Amino acid sequence: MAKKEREKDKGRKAPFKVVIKDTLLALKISFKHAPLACIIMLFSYLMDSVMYFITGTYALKYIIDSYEKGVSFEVIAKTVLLLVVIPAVVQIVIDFIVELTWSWGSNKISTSIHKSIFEKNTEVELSCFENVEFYDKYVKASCETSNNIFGMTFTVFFFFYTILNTCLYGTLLFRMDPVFIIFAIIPLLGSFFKKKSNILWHKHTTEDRVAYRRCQYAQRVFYSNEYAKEMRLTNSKSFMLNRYEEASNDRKEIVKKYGKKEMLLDILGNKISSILANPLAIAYAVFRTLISKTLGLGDCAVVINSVSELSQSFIQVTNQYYRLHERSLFVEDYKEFMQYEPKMRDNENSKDVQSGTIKLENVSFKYFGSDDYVLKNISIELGKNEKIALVGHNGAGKSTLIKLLLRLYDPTEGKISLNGEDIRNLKMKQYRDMFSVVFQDFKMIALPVIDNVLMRPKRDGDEEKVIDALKLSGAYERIMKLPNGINTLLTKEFSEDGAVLSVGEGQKIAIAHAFIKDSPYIILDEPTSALDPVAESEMYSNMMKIGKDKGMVFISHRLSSAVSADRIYMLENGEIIESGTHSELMRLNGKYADMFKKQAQNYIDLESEVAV
Amino acid sequence: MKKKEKVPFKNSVKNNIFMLKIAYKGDKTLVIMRLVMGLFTGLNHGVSIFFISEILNALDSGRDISYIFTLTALMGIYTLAYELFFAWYYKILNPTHKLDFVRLLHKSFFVKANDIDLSCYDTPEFYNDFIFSMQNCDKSILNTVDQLADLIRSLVASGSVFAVVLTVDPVIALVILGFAIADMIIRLLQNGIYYKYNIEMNELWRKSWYIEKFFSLADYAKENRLTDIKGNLLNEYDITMQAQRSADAKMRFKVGLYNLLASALSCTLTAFVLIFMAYNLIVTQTVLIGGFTVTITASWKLKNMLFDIQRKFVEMNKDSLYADKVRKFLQTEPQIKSGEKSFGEFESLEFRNVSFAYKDEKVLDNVSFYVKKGERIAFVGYNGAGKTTTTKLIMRLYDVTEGEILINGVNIKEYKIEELRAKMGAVFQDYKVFAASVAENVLGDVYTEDKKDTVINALKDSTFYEKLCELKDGINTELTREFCDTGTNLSGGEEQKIAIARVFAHNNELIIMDEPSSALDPIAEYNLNLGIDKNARDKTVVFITHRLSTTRHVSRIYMFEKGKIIEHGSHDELIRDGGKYAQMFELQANKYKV
Repeated sequence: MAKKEREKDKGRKAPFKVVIKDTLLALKISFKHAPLACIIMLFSYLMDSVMYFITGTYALKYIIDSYEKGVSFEVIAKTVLLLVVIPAVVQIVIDFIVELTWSWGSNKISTSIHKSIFEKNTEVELSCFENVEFYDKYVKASCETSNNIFGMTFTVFFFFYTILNTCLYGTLLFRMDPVFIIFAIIPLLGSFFKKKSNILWHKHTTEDRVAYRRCQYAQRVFYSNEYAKEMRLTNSKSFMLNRYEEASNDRKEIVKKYGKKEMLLDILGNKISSILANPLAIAYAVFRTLISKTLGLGDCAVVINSVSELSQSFIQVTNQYYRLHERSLFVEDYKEFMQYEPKMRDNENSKDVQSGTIKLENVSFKYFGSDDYVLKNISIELGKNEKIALVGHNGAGKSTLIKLLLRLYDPTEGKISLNGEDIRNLKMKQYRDMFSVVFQDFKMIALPVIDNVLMRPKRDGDEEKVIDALKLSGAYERIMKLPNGINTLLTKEFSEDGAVLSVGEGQKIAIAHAFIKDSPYIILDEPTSALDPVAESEMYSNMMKIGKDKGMVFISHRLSSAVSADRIYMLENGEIIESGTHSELMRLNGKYADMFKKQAQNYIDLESEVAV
Repeated sequence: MKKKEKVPFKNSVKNNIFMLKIAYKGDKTLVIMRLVMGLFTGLNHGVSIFFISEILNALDSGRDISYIFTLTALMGIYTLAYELFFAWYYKILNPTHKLDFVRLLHKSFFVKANDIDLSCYDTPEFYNDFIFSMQNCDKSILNTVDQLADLIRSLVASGSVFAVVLTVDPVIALVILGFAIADMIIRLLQNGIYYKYNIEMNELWRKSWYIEKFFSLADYAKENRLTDIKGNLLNEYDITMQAQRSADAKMRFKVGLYNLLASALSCTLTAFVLIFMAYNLIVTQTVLIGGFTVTITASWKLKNMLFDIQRKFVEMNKDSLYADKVRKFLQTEPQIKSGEKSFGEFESLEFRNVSFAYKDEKVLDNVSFYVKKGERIAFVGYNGAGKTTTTKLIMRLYDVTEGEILINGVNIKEYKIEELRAKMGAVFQDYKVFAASVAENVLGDVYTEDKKDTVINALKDSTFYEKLCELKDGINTELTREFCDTGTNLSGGEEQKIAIARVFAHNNELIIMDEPSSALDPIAEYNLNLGIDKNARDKTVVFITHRLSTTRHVSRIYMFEKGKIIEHGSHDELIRDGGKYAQMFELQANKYKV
């Protein structure tokens, strides 16, 4: 395990060439979308460096030199004024333009990056979201891409800034005495330790992350409302506190484990210049002034003042490289993600779709990375106007079967066909468009009600359709009570005025979507679990009216909805163990009949009582 | 409403003091050391300038070379000592103390959070602000300490540098101070703009962030593939980003103008210092080259430091917002107060004309009923009719607005709340499983060997046993991967069974089950009902259910509508009356009449 991790860390190193390539890519993206803003920004960085050099050192040196040469004060004052004011005016103007252009430009850049990611996230197959490794590395991280691109762009700008600084100070010192350059370079020796210290820090934070996450979880349990009821009625806080304490102590142990080494590496990596190089440089300058008398007093003062600036610049240059390296790892991920070829996609041979009979033939399926089959050897048929019901225990594979039917996954073995044509050869978008689906775990989207019902961009005349659909699903009354009717924003995600619906009301909205989409097939995956019996019954009778000429698939624990189906498939452990009409299966007296009887027991008893 | 967010300066100081007090109470060493560090780092600026200035002055005045070398060596040694101390503090002392502090702080807040009324969680403002600030209170408290230390550092640093400059030339020192004040005024004006801007942008940022999340979260992935909702969101994204840009442009222009002014000031100051010092060096000759260099270097330092201090003040104001919330939390007194009476054996439960309102909305309206020991009753009715609220009132998760609830003839407010709740077992509709072992989850308490049978029997009765046999570590299996990488994630139905086992394990005298089988399949539901029968034979049970078949054998059924009980009686009675219950039952039963 530990070895594996080390290998993984090793893998997270980008060679120099890659870093450069990624940097260029980041620059390309930035410059492409906001060329003017980038150029001005770069220019502003360079001006900063010039200004810094002039006011910090050069003006000083000029005054001292001129004084020693006996130049008159008036000339010196005029020159200094020009020296400071001219670049300052340029800088001020540029800064103003930066203020105006950069935020606009950066918004443009990040918009376009995000949009490219949105497309990709939609395009990759659903299993990418379920493969934890893939998801964390690409999908989840993709949100951070624009930050990394900006980070790289700015690092490059800063890189130029430090390079210019290094050149300016280097030239100044070199012209006085090349030996001074050596003192400025000494601190660079520390970069070896710095690298080590970075690696150590990375290890430290990686190790800490787990313990930190645990602490956060425990805090959530205590503070958030999800657990509030259970916390009040049980004594769960006792073991939660223990766990919190353990995780906190783990964090402390980690600090203790790494602290001393980190401290040492920090000093060796970052502090050599102030501890060693600067005093040495000063001593050397003093030596040359007083003993060998080869340096003027003024120059000596300038050297003492600027040798640390140069060494800082040197250090900065290497630091910027590390920063680029760090970002480069993320940009690599981004590149890989964008280049990822979705396994399910159309090609030039993809055919148009015509509704007809859907057939699953000997379909088996296992989730990515799992050895266990979720579905085994399934054969099902759904005719154009047929109603079928999938029943069975939790975890029997019903929802997975639906996902295969919708081509959210492709089967591991076997094939699914429409009118005899393998659905893999059909245009995917068209194929999926044939279904309206209500999922068990649907989510409200933070958009107005009307968008949540339509689930597509609005067109003229949609409002009436939406209202009709809401009436059919039983949500109309509730929605009309909202301040803006069907235009009311749902969830409080970004506005306090948003409406929060209950689970049952949400289900009705999702069902309304199925009503409005005039598609040849309807799939209902436990859509009524949160509805009361009256609402459920109304919904079903409306659904049956609408779906008279459509193919329908039901999944429901309430077997009553299965009774009228053309065929019922009973699943157990990923296999179909019984199939047929309700009366056939009741006659068979197998598992379905058992299940049905147990559920119907009370109702049926009543029936006979009444009959008596 | 959003205006309230701004905290006046006076309050800000108060809030900061409040946070510091919490920190000081929590860990004295942590706070004192941090402040000492601030002082120390501040002085360091003065010390390093002092060394340079001494060396240059010694050069100027022709002092002995060995003296100058000694000074340089001393400077090296001092820096070494300083850096060692600095690194030790930041890498070892500070982090360990911080962790201890954070742990103790949260532990004390946990206890308090558990006493908060559940009704607090129902207000979105509470949920949004409060939970966020609680999660982050450790950071904001430590931040307050850091900021104070930083402020001390800046003040001491600029004070010491100021002193150096003052000794060389008081004019320069005062001029720099004047410019710093002017700069401060400009920045304050700018902050006003930023503040307004942030409020304006808040919604736009949240919007774009939400849309970015939409595409990267698995929650929406299916819908995104099966519908054209992408179009709506992309459209919304374009509009949002466009709005961000134009709001930005407006703000940037104003900010840019102020920047212009600030830069002009800074440039004037630079030119002034250089020319004035050149004048002193050349014309009046009141300063030597060494003093000249030191003064100018020190001036730049001083300028930066002074400009920095006011930024610190602004930052302190930011954390003050958190402090307000933490303070509010600590001052929240639970409205639901424990009584004095002890609880004997459960005999009866009675609702007498109970009404209840969430804020202004009436949820229960004049509800009365009576349950004897050993009876089973069921609440049925539409969604939102008030069934779940009624059960929460029994558990005193809320208190009634009007009327009273009596247990054994005594108002439940008079009982010790801990004892009252300990008598009750509940399965909630939105049951939660903790990241802990199966046994701990079932017991709702720390697990010890002697409770093994209790746990296993409870799991058997809740029909979880079959799954339990598949688990490698049995009842010691960790649930979820929060604390254990090999933890098990259960399905919704399995989690519900754990929640039910929790009730069975406790032998509670009053059991409340809110839709206990919503995530179960028919067979599991049937077996569960058998389990309930077995466990709750002589217990008092309150069911809430949509599946009316479960209600057939209860003693009494209460049909809720819009917060009122509109029908009650046994199943047969209600069917005979032919009211709403009968209608509802008929609807469901119809489909089974084959």
